[in-house]
Amino acid sequence: MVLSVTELVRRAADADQAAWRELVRRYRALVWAVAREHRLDASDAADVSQATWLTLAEQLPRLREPERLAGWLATTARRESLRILTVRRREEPLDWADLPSTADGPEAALLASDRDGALWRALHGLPDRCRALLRLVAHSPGLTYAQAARALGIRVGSVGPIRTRCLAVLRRRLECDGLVEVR
Amino acid sequence: MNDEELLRRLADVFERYDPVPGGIGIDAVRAGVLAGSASSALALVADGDVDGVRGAGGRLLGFAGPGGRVDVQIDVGVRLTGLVSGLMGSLWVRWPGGSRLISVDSAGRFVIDGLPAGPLSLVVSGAVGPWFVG
Repeated sequence: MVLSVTELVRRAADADQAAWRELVRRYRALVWAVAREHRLDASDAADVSQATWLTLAEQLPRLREPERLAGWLATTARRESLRILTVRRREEPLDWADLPSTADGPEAALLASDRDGALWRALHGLPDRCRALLRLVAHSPGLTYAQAARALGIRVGSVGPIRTRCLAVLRRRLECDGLVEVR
Repeated sequence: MNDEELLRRLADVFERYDPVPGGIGIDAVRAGVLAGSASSALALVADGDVDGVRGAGGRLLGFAGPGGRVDVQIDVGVRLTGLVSGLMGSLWVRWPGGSRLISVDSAGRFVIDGLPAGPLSLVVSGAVGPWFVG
């Protein structure tokens, strides 16, 4: 039986550890994605993820709209990510444009000649905002446009168009590489 | 492949090349914070720079509790330096999996180092503060 998010939140708030683990399993990739798409390295992204989950654990009994948990997690992860970015920029002032992409990057997939590797490379050919939005939507299809906008700091009205355009660009690149069928 | 199928493939690819480290989120259970925890009675009221000194590092946080506040600077290391004013009782720092009593001098000052990396939280006489990272 697949339990609803609301039911899982209710059970986890009653200290049901299995329910808590299921919540973590469902949303851990989303929380991680928000931190990584704010260009945090793996260590800072792990700190942001931990802080987000710990905050949720303590807020569970007071969570007002449990059905909107995905949005709450994404927004909390963004707030923590921005705090860390502020501290890091102060420690080591860098030009934003000089910052390397946080994920391993396309070179990690160079040796992987399979379709996943090609897809990973294609994703890194997309503008950052494209990749970030597609990543959030991929991990959490139930995320509303308003929630996705808040998590990435973009206007609600641009979420739909960005999603459509980026998927089209990605699809074209994959078709050029012969990785998806031309329709 | 329609959009939904493509997005499912993307989720798989992200998980393969940039996986979530194991244990994340599960530590909250080990920290004993799942339910039954005190309501968060220390509120974050300040979050800023160390005297505006660029490159000095460190993050300054202020927490307000019943009748007073705690101000703390976090340095990479991980070290906490701070000042308690107006709050009564023992001061603890906790992290997923442990906690330590902080020794505070008569003027309310404290320094504690050798803390584990990752999220920390302050507790004063059972008033629990929010999780923060350096």
